[in-house]
Order: sequence, then structure tokens, then C-alpha cells
Amino acid sequence: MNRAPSSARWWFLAHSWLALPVWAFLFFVCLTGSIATVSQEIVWLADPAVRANPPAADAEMLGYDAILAVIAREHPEAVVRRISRPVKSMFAWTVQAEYPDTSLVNHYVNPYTGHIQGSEPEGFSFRQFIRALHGWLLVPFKEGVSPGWYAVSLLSLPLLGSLVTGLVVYKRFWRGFFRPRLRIDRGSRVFWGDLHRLAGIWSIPFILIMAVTGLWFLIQGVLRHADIELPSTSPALPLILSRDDVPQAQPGGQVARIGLDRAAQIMRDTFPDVDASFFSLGESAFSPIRVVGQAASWPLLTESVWINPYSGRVEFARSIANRSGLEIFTQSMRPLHAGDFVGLGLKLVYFVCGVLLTAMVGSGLLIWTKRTAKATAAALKGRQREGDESIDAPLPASLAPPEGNAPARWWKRWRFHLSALLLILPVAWLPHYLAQEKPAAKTGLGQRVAAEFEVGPWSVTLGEWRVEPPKHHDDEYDKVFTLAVCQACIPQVKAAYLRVGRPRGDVRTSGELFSGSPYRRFANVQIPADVRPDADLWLTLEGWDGTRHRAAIPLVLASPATAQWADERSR
Amino acid sequence: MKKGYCVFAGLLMICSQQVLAHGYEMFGDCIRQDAKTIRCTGGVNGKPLPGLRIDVLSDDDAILVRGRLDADGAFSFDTPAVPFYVLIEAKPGLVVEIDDWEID
Repeated sequence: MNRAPSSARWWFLAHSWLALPVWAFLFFVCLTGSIATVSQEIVWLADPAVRANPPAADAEMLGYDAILAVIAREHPEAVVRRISRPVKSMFAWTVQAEYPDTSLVNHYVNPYTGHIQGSEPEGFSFRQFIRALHGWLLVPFKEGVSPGWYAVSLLSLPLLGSLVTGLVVYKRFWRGFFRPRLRIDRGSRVFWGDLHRLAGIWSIPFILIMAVTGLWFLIQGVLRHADIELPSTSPALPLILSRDDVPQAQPGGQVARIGLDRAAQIMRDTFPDVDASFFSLGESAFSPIRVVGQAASWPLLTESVWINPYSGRVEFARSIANRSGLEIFTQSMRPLHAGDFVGLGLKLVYFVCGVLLTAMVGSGLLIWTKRTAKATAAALKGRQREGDESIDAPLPASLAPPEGNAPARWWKRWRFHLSALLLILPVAWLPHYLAQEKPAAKTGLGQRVAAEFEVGPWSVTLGEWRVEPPKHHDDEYDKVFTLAVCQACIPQVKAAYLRVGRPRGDVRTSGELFSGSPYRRFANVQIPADVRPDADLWLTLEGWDGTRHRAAIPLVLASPATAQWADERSR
Repeated sequence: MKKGYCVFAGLLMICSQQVLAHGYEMFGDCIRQDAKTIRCTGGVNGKPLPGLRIDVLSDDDAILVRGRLDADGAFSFDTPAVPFYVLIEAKPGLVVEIDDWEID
């Protein structure tokens, strides 16, 4: 007869102790997560430049080519990289363009008037900051892993545990839906207890979503850490065009490309119910145009087409139907966590639920200070006490003015607040984060400009992205170099390649393809393990008319760190 | 010989992570089946990839044999009478070269 209440008591204690030791940290994560949910809308409120105000009620939106034409007219040196707009939007189009100094600038273009309402260099953004603060405490990722990511995602375990144990101990919890109770005239302990239960009841689906998606983030981190890839239906090859699919121009001529309006039409032809919300214009002559829109059949995910920009042929279409069930599940986790797949209404629901969850964590602590310690002591002594009765019980002995020596008193007073020490992490990493997000930190050819030289008629600058020896991945060594071709050469140069050692005559042997923008291209070049320190890098530039020019760059000039590494290995 | 391939994201701060996350690694191998025939296989990320173009070229880059990998990701050809190399290109920059002296 006593078994059931005893079991309930232990469930109750488990519920109490799950979040207690980490309450401060959990509170912080819930709070920042709530803000992150509406961070874009906060920017909308604060910055009129990002709003899409129509000049008249019946105003029609401009086409995508018209928006590109505005950028081309007002910023002729800009190379547009991508255009995007949030789902079901009250936002202006964000046109991201790169400039000759390699700076990336976001232009906010009114979709009705084509007016560039504002421009700001890519760098610190409130939205990314609050997301990084919430998601990984600003602790940088190294090889895809951040301790901050683990610390945050591990919270999914007490969150899930709290939900399950909470539903067990809260008998007939569903009554809270129909007869909500929030007593404000019975003292603070009753108020916080009622609030905790009420918020919990109304947040059950939200807490479950946060716990499950958070658990997935934890699993994702472990998989990434262990270098384990889940089965994928992604194409076996990168989505770039084959060499034969890129036309060759007449000497001095240009190759025609389709416009974005045409690309949007191809998207509609492929996915009739999908509105384009993102265009990527490509990273090399071999890049398709990628058009992305929210899937009609499963709004959590997007559907995309990769379009040959010369012929308009659809190279690949990514639909919901050609994803596996596992992919649909795992890829749905992030939008389900962020709530950014319907529009403002759902975001506000997420925000309110997030604030409720934050309040639950806080109220949970207050309840503990008034109840749990005593209940624990009672349970350990085998005594029983009905849960609600203890709400109004006097303060437990453990919360009486601490006795004993100073360290013991300190421990007793502060033990459950120690998780707040984890917040030292974002404070410590904040200067690093801000330095990394400075626009100036995102420009340039890397840590070292290696050489400026002529390759046939074209002048180029080679950069070393990081001054360091090659990195070891999957039994190979590779190193990132950057390249800028002169502005006048840009229309003539179709592609650039880099490799260690002299290529053969066939252009296909030229090595790694540079990709990025004409002002800054990247190539991750494989460095042979037995490379000699006096080896040469060979740069190949291929013109749109089929001409080809090559130049050798001594490794010691391109990357002294790599030459030294090679020298040490050869000894 | 293997060649790495990577796709860079626009976000440069995660550039090096992208290298890891979206790496494509080409592989190719040729063996001498008998005095006359050479059989080559190729693919990406350890998986044979049918349909990839494979060329056998002379030292002066003239194409001697042109073909595509079969359903097993393999292609056989008669040993050329002149020095040669084998080239399999999956995509621009994603290439494997095999010299005749590397073939056992």
C-alpha cells in the first residue's frame, strides 16, 4: 500500500534534482534561446533598412533580375554571391556581394522599389551572435567540435528527464489545461509552484521539441567528433558542372548566362508549389545556380534545384521525396528547434514558450529552496509527506543559516549555483569572437600574401590562407591557398587550378580548382607526403576562349612553412 | 595517387570545417591483368562510380583510348605500345592520374 506513494516520492525527487545542479546554466541557455528565436525580428524592429515596406497597398514585387540590375548600376564592381529572404517575409532582400578588397557586403534591397535601403559589411550580426551564444557559448569550433556545443546540448538530458518525471509526479496533469491554477494570494512559494506546473503543462510540446532536438544536436556533435557519417542520399559527386557542360567563348567574346528570373521560372517548373527564397550564383565557372525554397509538402525543409547557368538545364533537384526518412528526420531537427519555418506567428509562439521554459527553470529553483531539500531529507529518513502539503511547509533545515566552518558554509550556500561558472566561457571567448567577426578579419587573401606575378597576359596574387604546415586529413596532407586575378582579367579568366609539381598538357591534370569569387578564390591543395622543399607549385589559368597559361611558383615562396615542413620530413 | 576535393562555404570562418565536412576524395587504381590487358577502377570516397569518363593518354597528351567506367566502376583496355598515363575525371578538379610505371 505504501509502495505507490514511495515510488511517486522518488520520481518527485528525481524531477527536483535533475535540473537543480545545472539550473543557472540551463536558465541562461533557455533565455538566450528565447531571444535567438526572435533575433531576426528584433533586428527588423531596430533597423528600418531590413524591412520590406511596399510603397502602396497594391505594389508588386520586382523580379530578381531587376534587383541584380540595381546592384550592377549602383555598385558596378560588386560581384553578387547570393540573394536571400526569410520565409513569408516582411523583410527586404539581402543581396550579398563581394568587392575588390574581398569585403563581403550585405545590401538590403526593397523588393517593391529596388531601393537599396541599407548596406553593411558582413561581420558581427546580432542574430549570429545570439545564436552562437546560445548554441555553443561562443567557444570556437576546432575540427568541427566545440566544447560549448557539448555543454549546451548535454542539457537536453536533464530537460528530457525533467519532462518525463514531471509528468509522472504531476498526477492528472491534463486537468491543468482545463482548470489552470495560479494562486497569487497564498504567498510566494505557492505562486512559484503554481507557475511552474502551469507553465510546464502548457509547454509540454515545446519542452519535448527542445529536449529531442537538443538531444539530436548532442548526437550530431558526437557523430561529427567521431567522424561518422549517416547514410545519405546526396549525390555521390559534388554538384558542379562537368567540363563538357561549360561552353567555350569565341576569342574576346563572352558566354551567355541565364538570368535569375529564368532560374526562378525553372524552379517553379520543377516545384510548382515552392517560392524561391534563396539564390546562390555560384563559386566558379563550373558552379550551377542554386535556387532554394520552402517545401510545400514538408515546410520544415527546403527543396532546391541546381541549374546549369549556360543552358538552363536542371542538373539536380533536391525534393522532399528523394530524401530518406532518416534525412527528413535529422534535417528537420534544426528548424524544429529554431521555429523559423512558418513565419512570425510561430516564432512568437516559440518565444513565449521559451520564456515560459526559462521561467520554469527559475521557478524550479525557487521551489527547491522552499521544498526539495526538506523532502529529500524526509525521504531518506523514510517519512512520507504529500507533495502539495510541503509547498507551504516552513523552510527546510538545510536552508537554515549554514553552520560549520567557512568552506562548508560556502559549499552549502553556493553548490547549486556553481553551473553559473560555465558562463565564464562566453565571457572569456567574447574578445576572440568579436575579433573574428570584425569585417576586417574577413577580408584579404589570408594570413600572408605570397606572391604577385604574371601568368601569360594575366596578373594574379597568390595568398596563403594560414601560415602553417599542411594539415593531415584522411591519410593526406592539404593546404589552403587563395588567389585573386586582376580586375581587368576577370571577364577573361574562366578557371584557375593549383597543384604541386608540373601538370601534363591536358588541362584536366592542372590540379585543384579554385572556387570562391573572382576577387578571392580558394583551393585546398593536396601536398604529397614526400614533397621536396624545393618543389614548385604550378598555377594554371584557363581562359573562356580555351587559352591556357601556366606558371611555376617555388613552394618556399608560396608557403615557407610548408617548405620547412617538407625539409624536416625529408631529413 | 589520390586527389582531394572540397567545397568552400561562403562563410570563411568555417572554411576549414567545410573542408572536412564536404570532402570528396577521388580514388583510382590500375592492374595488369595479363600481358595484354590493363583493368582500371575508380570512384569517389571509396565507392566505385559507374559512368565516369576514363582516358588513356600518351606522354604527349594524345588520347589513345577513351571510355567510361562500367557498372562495377571498372574499365579494361589493351596495353598501349607507347608510354601512357590513365586519367579519370569525375568533375573539374576531382581527378586521378595513374602513370604506366605505377601499374603492376
